[in-house]
Amino acid sequence: MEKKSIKVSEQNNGKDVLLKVKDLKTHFFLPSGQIVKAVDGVTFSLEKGKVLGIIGESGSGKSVTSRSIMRIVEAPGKIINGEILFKGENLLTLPESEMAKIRGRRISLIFQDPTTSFNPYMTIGQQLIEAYRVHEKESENKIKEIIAQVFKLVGISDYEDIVKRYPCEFSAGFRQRIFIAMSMIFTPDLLIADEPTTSLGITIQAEIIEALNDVKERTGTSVIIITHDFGVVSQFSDDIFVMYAGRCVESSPKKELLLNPMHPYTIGLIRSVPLLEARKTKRLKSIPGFPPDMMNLPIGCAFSNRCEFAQDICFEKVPDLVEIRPNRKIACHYPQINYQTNQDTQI
Amino acid sequence: MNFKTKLSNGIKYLQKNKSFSIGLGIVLITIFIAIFADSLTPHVPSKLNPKFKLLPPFWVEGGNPKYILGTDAIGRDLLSRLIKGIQMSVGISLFSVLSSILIGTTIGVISGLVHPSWLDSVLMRITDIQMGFPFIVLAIIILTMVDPTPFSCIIVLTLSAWPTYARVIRSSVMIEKSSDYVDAAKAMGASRARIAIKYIGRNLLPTIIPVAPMDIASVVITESLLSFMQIGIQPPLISLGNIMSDGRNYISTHWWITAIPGFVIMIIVIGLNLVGDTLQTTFDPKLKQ
Amino acid sequence: MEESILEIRNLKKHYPIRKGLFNKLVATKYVVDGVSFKINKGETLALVGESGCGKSVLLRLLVGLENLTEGEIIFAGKKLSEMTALERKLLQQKQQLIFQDSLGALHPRFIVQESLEEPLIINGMKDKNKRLQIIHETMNKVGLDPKYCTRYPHELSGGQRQRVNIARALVERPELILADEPISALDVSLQAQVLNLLMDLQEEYNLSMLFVAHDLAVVRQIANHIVIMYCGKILESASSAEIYENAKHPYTNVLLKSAPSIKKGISDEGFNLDLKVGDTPDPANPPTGCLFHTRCMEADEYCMREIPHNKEIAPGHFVCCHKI
Repeated sequence: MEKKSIKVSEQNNGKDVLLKVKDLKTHFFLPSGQIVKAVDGVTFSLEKGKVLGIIGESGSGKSVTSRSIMRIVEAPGKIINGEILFKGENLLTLPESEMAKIRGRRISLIFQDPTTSFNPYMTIGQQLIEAYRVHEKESENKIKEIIAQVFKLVGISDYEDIVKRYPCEFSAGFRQRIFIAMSMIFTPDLLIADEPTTSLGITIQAEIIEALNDVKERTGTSVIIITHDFGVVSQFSDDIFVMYAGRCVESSPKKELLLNPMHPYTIGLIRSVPLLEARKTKRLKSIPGFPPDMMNLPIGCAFSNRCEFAQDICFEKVPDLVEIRPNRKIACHYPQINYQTNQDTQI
Repeated sequence: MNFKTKLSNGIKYLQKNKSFSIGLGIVLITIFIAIFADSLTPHVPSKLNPKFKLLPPFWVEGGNPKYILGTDAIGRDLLSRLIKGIQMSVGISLFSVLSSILIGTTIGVISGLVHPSWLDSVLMRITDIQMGFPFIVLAIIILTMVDPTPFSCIIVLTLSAWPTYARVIRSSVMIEKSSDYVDAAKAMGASRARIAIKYIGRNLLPTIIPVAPMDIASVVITESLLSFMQIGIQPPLISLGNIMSDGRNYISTHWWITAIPGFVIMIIVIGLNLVGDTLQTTFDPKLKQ
Repeated sequence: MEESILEIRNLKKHYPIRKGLFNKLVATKYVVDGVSFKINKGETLALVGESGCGKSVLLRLLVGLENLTEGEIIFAGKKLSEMTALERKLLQQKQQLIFQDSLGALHPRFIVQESLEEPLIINGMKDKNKRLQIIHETMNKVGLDPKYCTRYPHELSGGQRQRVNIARALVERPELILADEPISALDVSLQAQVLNLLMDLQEEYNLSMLFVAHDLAVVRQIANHIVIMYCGKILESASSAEIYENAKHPYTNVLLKSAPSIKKGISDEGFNLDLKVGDTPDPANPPTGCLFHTRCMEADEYCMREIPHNKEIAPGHFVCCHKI
């Protein structure tokens, strides 16, 4: 495993970067005059064939980040700053017609709720053909070949019967699998999965993650997975990006982050995940307090009022995202450099 | 919070919501006119004055400042008639909407609470029949059979409006009934009456209140239509519709007799709709956010 | 023998599915199909199963929101079917339900104080000052500042709302809490908080708890006894220690293994899902034989044909599988 992390750093300096987001700011301008800084200066990059896990709680801006990349932020939200370089091209300056060609073809989005992502009145087959024809003209036979391939990709072999049926005839888990197949018809370079397993049961969740993993392995597509579940990102992603109140608090290769989290928020999150392997201690360690009100953020670090390490400066100045070691960025005045997850009682 | 801060908050709110202030202003003026109509009329509205037939409004050439909005074909003061007409039209609309709300809510709540059962089916079929019957035909039948007094007009207008309330209320009762908080109340041991009144009832008023002004607006129009067709309010009683109807024959030469009441109807309807619009957003806690 | 607070015997809930003009019975949905277990005083029983396994319906049966098709509920030694109206009313005070959806469980137009007052008013506490006193006391207990009394539910955050729900369940000083996935809709950083709170309250008031969850990690800390439910039936039930260290049923093992975890992330373990791809069965059309055979790796023809029966493989450890 050592080898892999070294390779990661080499590639990062090289040119194999697929997506680079620089200082992205998406704010919501409410009619009441208030401004919600849903995404406030987010920077990250993703290499080809890698999986980036974005983790955050509700309201942390993780979904808005993904919508900003697709440029489908709804009013009153507006991308006011930043660059989104996709294969070296800035998506934010592209005309809408060009962007429409990228959506669904070069970048696909998988939603949380597989029920609403389908048109209930069209058969699965019709929808897949439609999804293809939005972008390219092709004979039906050729498209059918492609459909057979994408179904194989997500582990469905007897697709003949499935394409004739309607979305409502399948369970939520199966629909999500079909949706992944549908997002793969153009073998996009980037697949963004926004809480793809949140509404599913445990075993189905594992199946879907496995299907996503297969898709990634077989096609080399890069994946951004957005979730609030630390377990999912731990097992699936190569890099982890932790968001809190619209900002990145820590970003790092997975294993380093899991073994040696430095930001107090990340530490708190990892500690508070209920673990199967935990010893039966009486209490879980938890983060005190509540997530911040996005309309009324603290002046300094957004996490300051819940942080056990906070000092005076934390309440006055917003910490910058600093590269503390190669590939490890952290936004904290007092990063816990020596913290080890293993020391803790719960693992 | 004392009265003064409440008042200043209220003023601030009005300053921020311009359309609501305008609407509220119109509605308040209309209500004022309707209540004090008898003392506001400059002339006796039914008094004929053969000397001043078809007088134009005062700003038009040949107008007389004593008759601000002019007179009609038999020399009655138009402004006085208009004021009485507003009183009649608004009064009738208000009472019809109130009684439709009463009937509609009662039927809707019962139907929603007992759903699914035969009683619900019966009530809903009655509602469907009422909704499906063409209103104008119904109005003509009833108003030609009975004396077209204001009271019978209210009944006809109520008949046309209650089914919508019954439908809306029934479906919202059904949604409420299956909500977690009603389940929670049942699990606590709350009685059926308590659930109906305190839990479901409290959510009904906010469904009704915003719709009511808009509904009054549409009934104002319907009432005027009936009177214009001369099957509604009959002379010597005055409503906005029959003032317009009076001016029908003179529309090409003496436009104001028809146009001014029409304009008044329009203003009242706009005012009511503006108020309804704002109420809708204020009464929905989720929209507010 | 320990004293049990709640015992259910062979509980069944079947929904008829009717279709057509004459309401012809076309199928029966076996949502809960013969479930029995027992909760001892002061202990927590965790009912674990995936969505659609009937665990929520079971809770609704217990609080009387649904009528049961068959079976017996015994509360503190007394059969529910033999209780008088008054006794049932008392029972409603002694067992309280906490919902998963903290927002939906509170009336949107009730301020916090009204929501908390409701159970007290319903059970006839007329003295307003006494009610307020109890409410403030309970709010403090669940870590809510009484200043939130005048807030509406949508003005509170998810964690605060779930505290209100817990407070509402506690104002009556119940003996048994029925919690329907009380933390699964909460943010990660709040889940641990609320779980800790429930454990503290349990200790303080000597509460018994039926804790419904969809995964085994969540109940690790809180449960004394675990029941695994699948498609309306119990597949395995044992003490918590037995389940985590000595689980026997293939489905329990899948649940234990398939949950993504930080530890697996660190050790780079793969997904090794011991499961055939497929869905949880439809309760209206359950598989023949063992319910789990459609997804079980070890299933053979015998499993498809014969319904397995409960076997006690260790004291208190029941498994429903042919392969044991």
